[in-house]
Formats: sequence, structure tokens, C-alpha cells
Amino acid sequence: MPIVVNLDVMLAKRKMSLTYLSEKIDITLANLSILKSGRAKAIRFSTLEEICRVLECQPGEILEYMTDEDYAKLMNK
Amino acid sequence: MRKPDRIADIIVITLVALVLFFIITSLFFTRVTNTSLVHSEGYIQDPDPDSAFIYTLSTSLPYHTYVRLKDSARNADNYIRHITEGIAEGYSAAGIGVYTIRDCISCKDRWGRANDSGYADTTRYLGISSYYFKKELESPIGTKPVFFRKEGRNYIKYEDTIRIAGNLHLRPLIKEVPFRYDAHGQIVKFKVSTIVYCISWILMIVYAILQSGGLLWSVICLIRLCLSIARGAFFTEENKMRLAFCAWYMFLSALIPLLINPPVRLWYYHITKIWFSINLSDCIEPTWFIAAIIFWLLFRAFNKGLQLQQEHDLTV
Repeated sequence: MPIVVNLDVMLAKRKMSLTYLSEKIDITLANLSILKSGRAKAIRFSTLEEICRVLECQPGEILEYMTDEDYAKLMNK
Repeated sequence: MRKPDRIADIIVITLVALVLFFIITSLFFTRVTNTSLVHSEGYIQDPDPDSAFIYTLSTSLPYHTYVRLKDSARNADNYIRHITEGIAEGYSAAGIGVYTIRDCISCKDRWGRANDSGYADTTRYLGISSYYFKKELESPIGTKPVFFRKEGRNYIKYEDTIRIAGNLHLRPLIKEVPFRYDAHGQIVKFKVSTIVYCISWILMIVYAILQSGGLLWSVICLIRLCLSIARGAFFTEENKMRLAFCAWYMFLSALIPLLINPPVRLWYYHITKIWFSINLSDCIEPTWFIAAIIFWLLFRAFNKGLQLQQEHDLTV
């Protein structure tokens, strides 16, 4: 799916750990790992809202659209 | 192994054993007992009135009476010989039937002694359901089989129809083929060589094993599906594949007879020189097709359910 989740980038920018984020937004670490690794099929608006609130960012900074070719290149890296 | 799994396996194995027993005993083994089976030498004939004196046969009688009674005794002997209990043993599947006849003299002989000796008739037969003959007899036009007796034997011949100046005319045929008929089993049997018999037997066994194996595995799949649903696991990959197998099995069970019946009948034609008109409606099993469609719809429903569940599981 050519929608990339840049959660790890935002976490690095904010110098935050995934465990800390999971505690702050009350989502299990396992679910957050699914989101971070790109295996998630969908994301609730409420989850996105919580992530944006804690990371102080816009949804567009977390989610990014790529073309199939770019996505394939990214996956091959 | 968890306890429910163990119970499920025990139930499955028990059911498999029952189904296997059912299949072996009733589906493929055909034992036709026919007391009016025709002996190869002739037909059952009523004894002449002199047979009533058969037990008074004595060598002290005048010569002409003795001879007459001896002839009567021979007639009665033949009569007793012909009252045999014929047991046809064989297997049939997919329109192919193979039979051997075992004639047992099970009645008492003329001296009142029980004679239960049996002898094996090694003649091999191919069996064809009389259903096909009945269908053709019912058809208003086309080739019609004509049954008749000649010199004490059953014969079958066909009258073909030909079109002359727009009208159908009967053309007398041609080939007269002797056959034996089991009224009880409603099977018309044609004598064939051992090679043809063996080939038919192998083909029939292969088909029977495939079909019974598929049936057994379908039953196992359905039982496991029920147990899985009872445990609360609805939309799983295993359940989806079980339904897919059942759908494919039922579809192929309907399709394979449709595909193999025409070549089988051509093969019969090659052997017996009797042409069976190929009516596809005879070969189609609507029940299997409907069952296949139902299982396919269930498979699609489970497939969609599995997709939705995976989506739900991966929604953060």
C-alpha cells in the first residue's frame, strides 16, 4: 500500500520512544508497532488525533502518499 | 494437544470409520441375487409330467418304461440343474460396472439330498444400468433397442432411424448382441474379455477411490468446520479452505460424470456394438451443482468475513 507511516521519523524528531507514546495515547505497544512497521490496514481518526496531539504535528507529517514505484524502491532498500 | 482438539479428533476418526464402513458396504459393492438367472445352456423349463414318477425309477421295470423314465430323469436333472441361485458379485461406479457370476446349485437334487456345491463361472461381464435402455425406449424418435429371444438366448438389437425425403424411417439394424439381464439389479450385462474386464475394473476402482476419498475428506472438513465455529473461530484461513474444498469436490463430482460419460458410452459401443444415444441431461447431477454453488457462496462469505476481520485486527 503506497501510504507510508512516518511515525518513526516523528518519534526521532521529538526524541520520544514508542513505549512513551503508547502510554500517552493509551494504545498498546503491539498496535503501535503494527502502525510503525506499516502493516496496519487502517487508522482511526481518534488514534491519529491522539498521536498528533502528543507529537505536536499535523496528520500529513505522519502519513505520506507515494507512487507505487517510489514505494517499491523504499521497500527494496 | 488441547482437550477440545482431542475430542474433535476422536469424533472425526469415529465418523470417518462409520462413513468408510458405509461406503464399502453399500456404495460400491453390489451383490445381486437373482433366482431366475438364466443358465448359460438354456432356460428354466418345466419338467414333463413323467417327472412326477422320478422317485419310482427302478431298473426292474420293463425296458421301454425304463428308457422313458430315464429320459424324464434326465429332464428333471436338467431342470434341477437350471434352478440355480445365481449370485452376481461386482462393483460399479461412474457408470462402469464389472461383474462375475457365481452359480450355486442350492436346491435339493432328485434324490432329495442337499446339494450346495457351487462352481465359479469365470465369465466376465460389463454391466450397464437398464436406466439407459429405459430412457431410449421412452424416447419418441431415434434409435430404439429391441429385445428378443432366439434359440433360448436373450438378444438385443437396435433399429435406427434415417431421414428420407423429410420423413423418419426405421432402418433395421444390423447387430444382434446377446446379453444377460439381472431383473433385481436392473443391470444388462455383456460378456467381455478378461482384458476389458480388468481395464474396466481398474478405471472403476480409481474413480471410486478418488470419489470416496473426496467424500471422506469433505465430511472431515465439515466436521472440523462445525467444531471450529463451536469454539468461536469463525473467519479463519482453515475454515475458508475447508469450504473451498467442499465446493470444489461437489463441483467436480457433478462435472466429472458429465465429462466421462460420453467416452465411456463410446467405449461401450466399441465393446458391445450397441449405440447409446448420449443425452447430457442424464449425466448432469443438479443436486451436486446446487450444493457446489451453496458451498461456493459460503466460501465467498467466509472469504469476505476473513478480509474484514483481518482489516479490523490491523486497524489501530
